[in-house]
Amino acid sequence: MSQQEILEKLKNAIEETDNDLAEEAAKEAVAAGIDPMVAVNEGLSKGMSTISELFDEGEVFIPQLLLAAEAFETAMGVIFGDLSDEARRKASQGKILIHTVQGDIHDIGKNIVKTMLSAGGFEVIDLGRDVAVEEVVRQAVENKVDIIAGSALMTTTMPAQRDIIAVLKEEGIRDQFKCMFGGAPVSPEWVAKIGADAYAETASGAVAKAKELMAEIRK
Amino acid sequence: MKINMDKWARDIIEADEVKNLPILFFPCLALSNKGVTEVVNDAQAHFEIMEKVLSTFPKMIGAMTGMDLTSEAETFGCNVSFSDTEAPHATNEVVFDRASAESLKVPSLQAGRGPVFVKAAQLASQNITDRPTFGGMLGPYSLAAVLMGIERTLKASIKDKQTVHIVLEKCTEYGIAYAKAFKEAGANGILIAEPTAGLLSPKQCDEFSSKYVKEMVDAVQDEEFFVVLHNCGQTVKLVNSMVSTGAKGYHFGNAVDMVDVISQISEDYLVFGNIDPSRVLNEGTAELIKGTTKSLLEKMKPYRHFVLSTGCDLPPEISIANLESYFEALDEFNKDK
Repeated sequence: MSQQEILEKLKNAIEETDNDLAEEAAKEAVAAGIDPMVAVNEGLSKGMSTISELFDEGEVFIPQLLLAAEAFETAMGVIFGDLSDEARRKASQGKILIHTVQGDIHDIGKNIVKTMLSAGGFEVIDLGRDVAVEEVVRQAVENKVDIIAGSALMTTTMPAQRDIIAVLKEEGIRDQFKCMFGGAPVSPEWVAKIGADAYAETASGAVAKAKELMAEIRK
Repeated sequence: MKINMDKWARDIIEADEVKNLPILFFPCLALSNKGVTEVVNDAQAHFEIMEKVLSTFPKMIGAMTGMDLTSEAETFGCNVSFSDTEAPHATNEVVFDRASAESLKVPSLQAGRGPVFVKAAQLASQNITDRPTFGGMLGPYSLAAVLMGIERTLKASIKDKQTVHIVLEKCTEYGIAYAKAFKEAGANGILIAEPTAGLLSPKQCDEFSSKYVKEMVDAVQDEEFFVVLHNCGQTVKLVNSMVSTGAKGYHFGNAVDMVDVISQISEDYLVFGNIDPSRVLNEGTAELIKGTTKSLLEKMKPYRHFVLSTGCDLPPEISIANLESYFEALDEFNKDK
């Protein structure tokens, strides 16, 4: 199979939300010695872009998006499985720590954003759901991330986003990280009020915002 | 007390004034010395808050039990976390695969906290006789998503449909029994909260939600018992599916423009919505709340079957002052009509 055919297979696997096909195509990409970033950018991410566009247009719904994300993550695991951290970093658009804030167990939105960010070329560290503020900050420092991204799905858990900013300030490290937040009750006004750097309404919007933040960091 | 609910709905449609039924319960705890934990475990305390809601906001056209969306899942075996300052939430799942779906037992209606809400509705129907009482409950797909975990349920709705259907049949069996208990207790209707169905495609919504909601509607709805189906998701493409349930009322969240949904629903049904509980009613200033409410009311002028409401259940932290702004906006709009 030619490189082009393998890339096409990777793209189709995501568009068809076929986890087994994604794993098979990823193994073929590794066996053929395709550059991992080419496999991602010319194969998987193109498939994810199709799904993302159809989702934004209301033609694809959350269940399909979740399965596409699952297939994407499976293929990524195969493609990047043996690469060193250094190689991953070089291939990355930036490093993002993502989480759902303390007290909040809703993580579908966060998981979708995580996949979209990965598809957008970011290295994403997922702390999961219901993560304590101190843990978010500790992991951000330890992993030397560029961006802290968080989701809150309840009005009662939104204050944890404010607390993250407060702890970063208290520790004198606020300027080391860009902070972006989202979630159903979160608004641009809230994000501005707590002194965070960006708000995103949708998963695809989060990728665009993350790229803008990285451009600011790399100025 | 029995009420002809068809007439109740017709009167609303024919009235000159726009009517108002927000999903309002927990914010009025601030007017009492009770916390969330007490009122979701004690029928008398729950009823007292229902009364407090109406004495504070007498323009509400119905009494409603608080939307504790965990009691059904808890009765099925989920653990629930309680706090005095927020609505309870389930903390674990009990269905992981086909085997656990098959072994899931449909609980007795006497088990768990369901009887608390049924009893509260009974007290309300006996003591609040000038307007109908509604019981709040979770829809079948939303309950299945709590029992299985939302992400697992959504994925299985494509990859392992049979497991989802097994759980849905059990949720529907319990839901019908719960709805009948509200009816037998004297409630005049129920509000079925089915938000998770808002994440599905129209075809999936037909298959995994509306089919089962229709079974519930068919089991209880009649001239004296009114079913409102609530879905606060992105429902513009799901309206036909929702209406296929036969419910006589549809309640929408702030994810949609009300014009886009109400324009798809005939004037034979009541359509409720959709002031944003978070960005407007919780975070907003009096000016923003009034402006947003009046703007919605203006847009809804061509639709006589519109009933002003909130886009979802209101969390406890919303201030009474903010709610007063919302009610004042409707009063001012109706006076200016």
